[in-house]
Amino acid sequence: MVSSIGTASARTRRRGGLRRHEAIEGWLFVAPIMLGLLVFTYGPTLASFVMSLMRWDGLTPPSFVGLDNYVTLLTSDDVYGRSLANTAYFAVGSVPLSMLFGLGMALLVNQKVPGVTLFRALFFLPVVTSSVAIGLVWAWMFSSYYGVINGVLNLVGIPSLPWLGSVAWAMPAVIIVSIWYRVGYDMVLFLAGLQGIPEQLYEAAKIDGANNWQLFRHVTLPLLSPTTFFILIISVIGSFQVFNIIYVMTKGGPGYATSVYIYYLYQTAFQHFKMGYGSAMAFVLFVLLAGLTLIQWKAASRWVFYR
Amino acid sequence: MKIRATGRFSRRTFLQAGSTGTLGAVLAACSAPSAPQSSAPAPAATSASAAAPATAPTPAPTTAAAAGAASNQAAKPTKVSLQFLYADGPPQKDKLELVVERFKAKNPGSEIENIWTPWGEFESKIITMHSGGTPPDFHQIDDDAVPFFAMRDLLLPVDAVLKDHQIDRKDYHPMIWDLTTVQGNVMALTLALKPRAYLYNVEMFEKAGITAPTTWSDAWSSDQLLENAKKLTQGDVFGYSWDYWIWDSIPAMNDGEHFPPDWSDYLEPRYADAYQWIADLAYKHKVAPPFDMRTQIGELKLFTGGKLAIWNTTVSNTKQLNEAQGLKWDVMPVAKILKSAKAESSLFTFAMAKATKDPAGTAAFASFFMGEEAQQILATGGDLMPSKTSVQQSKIFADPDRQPKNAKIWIESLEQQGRWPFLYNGIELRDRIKPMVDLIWAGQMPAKEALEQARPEVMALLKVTQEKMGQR
Repeated sequence: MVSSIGTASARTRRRGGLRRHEAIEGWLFVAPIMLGLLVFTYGPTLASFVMSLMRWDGLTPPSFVGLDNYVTLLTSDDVYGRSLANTAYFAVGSVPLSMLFGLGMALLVNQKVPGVTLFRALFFLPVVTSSVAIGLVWAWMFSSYYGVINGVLNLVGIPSLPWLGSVAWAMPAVIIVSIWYRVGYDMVLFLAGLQGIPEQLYEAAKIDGANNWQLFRHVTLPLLSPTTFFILIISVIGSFQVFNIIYVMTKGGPGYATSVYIYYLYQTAFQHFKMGYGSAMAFVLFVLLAGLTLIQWKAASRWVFYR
Repeated sequence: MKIRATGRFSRRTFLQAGSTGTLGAVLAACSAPSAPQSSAPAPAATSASAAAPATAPTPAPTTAAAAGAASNQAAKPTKVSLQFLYADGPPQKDKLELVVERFKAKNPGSEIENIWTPWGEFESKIITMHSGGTPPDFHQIDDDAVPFFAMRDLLLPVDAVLKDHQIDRKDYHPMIWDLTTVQGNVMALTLALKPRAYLYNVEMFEKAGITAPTTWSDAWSSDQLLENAKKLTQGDVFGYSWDYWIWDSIPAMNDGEHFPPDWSDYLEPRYADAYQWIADLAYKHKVAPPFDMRTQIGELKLFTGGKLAIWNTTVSNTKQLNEAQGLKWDVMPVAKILKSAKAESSLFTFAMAKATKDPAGTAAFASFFMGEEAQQILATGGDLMPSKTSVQQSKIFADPDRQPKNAKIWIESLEQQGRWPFLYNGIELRDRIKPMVDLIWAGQMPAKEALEQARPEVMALLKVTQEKMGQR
């Protein structure tokens, strides 16, 4: 009895030792990435938060100002307010349309027809193209005087639009480019979602007498809802972080017509060297995006269906 | 952890050893002794310094000590090792590089790393380099940003350098010293100037029977400018245009300045009136190209392509204009917009970084640019007006056998200068006003309304300047 207890206890000790040994090895395996995250992600994030409580131009020693940066940002910075409103305009203009076109294109390239792979590749091409090059080329296309877009409009009897030179038209122009740039990405995700829907469900619905619209409405859309939810979340986050196209095409102008959140943050931190203020802007954006994502997450239970 | 000597180097063993090594390396890196703290930023090694022969380390100098060191050492033949950063494109870039070559020829063994940065990015780059404690030893600086750098104690004053290198201020136009003086010290060297005047197409003037004024006292009134611009505007040819980046000088044309000397106010009605008058040329009188045509096509193309008769711009375009086949052009004084014919000149300005590792060498290098030889190189081709008066007056810059025939207008423009904002936070203030001025130029908003919209931000920034700089 004693001997068997002793054996069991020795076995337990050995097992405990093995577990400890494996635990140590496990920690060692993840140590490099954890250190990387700590040093290169969480550390700078924490430093950035501390910086948001400072007034610092990057050139002279920082001074602690508490929540002053946040107060100024939220109460008295008109340009910040305009940039936030412009960002919301951009998000509302670009995300739904990009998703809609992405879904439409995914439905088209989900057909079993010859050459469909080529079309998939062509539609995806803008996603793997430099956003700077895209911005430059589109800026030429939107030119009021020799741009191809006004040329086409003129052909159908519509007078030239001032596009990037106009407060009213600059943001729609940027939204058009952004949709064109992004839609291929949405298409690929929707396509993956579509190909994951079991064929039997369509067959069963057809046996029940469903027409094409009913198939789409009652089979495709619900079963695509997890994909749609994922695209919505990343698109909203992405739209609040738009920068490259704005920087290349409009530099936030004319006036402040296309000054968006990240562009203003960049200008504040890296052109005016108000690092503390820029950090505060970054943290407000983080909270804003976390809030928006949470709202979408809560609302998802009403329209997202998981099989 | 023990690595068992089994004779078999397993994947697990490899990972264990790798993890330990990585952890060790990271910890070792983290525990490396940090550089001693000092009030001045400690210059890190640069490619230039790495390439330089080993010398005793030079401590980061204080302003006075460094200027003194520069003053005491600079007169000797010098072997320097430094970084030189500049942002102007060709042809100015090429001339700067030629000056560097001449300096190196006169100072054998010198190692100068030329860093060219496109203009759009150069200010951010300079500030980032200063912030990191590794600024280029001698670098270009936007003229209205001199106080931004000087008041953050990033630059060496050049007064002692001028004295030590026998640079007599009287040999240069006084404005180059006035406009670079911050709190009593000259903080930057103006190698050359880029004055502004009206360029005009000689053949279009002859065809329209218009005679261009040849002296500043004969400058057109605003009514004359409008009348002649109407005569010159025909079909797709516009009578007049201006570089849109001249918000600095336009209020001066109406006998005013952006800000009163105590920085206490902004936007007197006369400033807005001057902006509006200019914008009306495009949108009311239709004698100037609209804003988007100017930004998309550019005045240079319009002017060289025979689509523009009068162009308000700087001397910097001389080379391109002279390369345009068959273009006959000359220069005339700017018109009196509403009240006065004020001109503007950008300064081609460079500064010595306080954190330079070699103050004496940098001083010798910097002062070389102010000398006769370098000034002559900068004047070649007429697209930079040298700071040195004797070279300015020479045929190297103003050659009647080369276009423009009336180049003395550039020189005389220095007596007609309006002042541009010279502020502690000029970079940010410029960025606050520019979007609103763009709206005026684009005909999207009346001048008074646009400038009024910028008022809260501008006044807040002026308050900071008032606190930091006091009375101008």
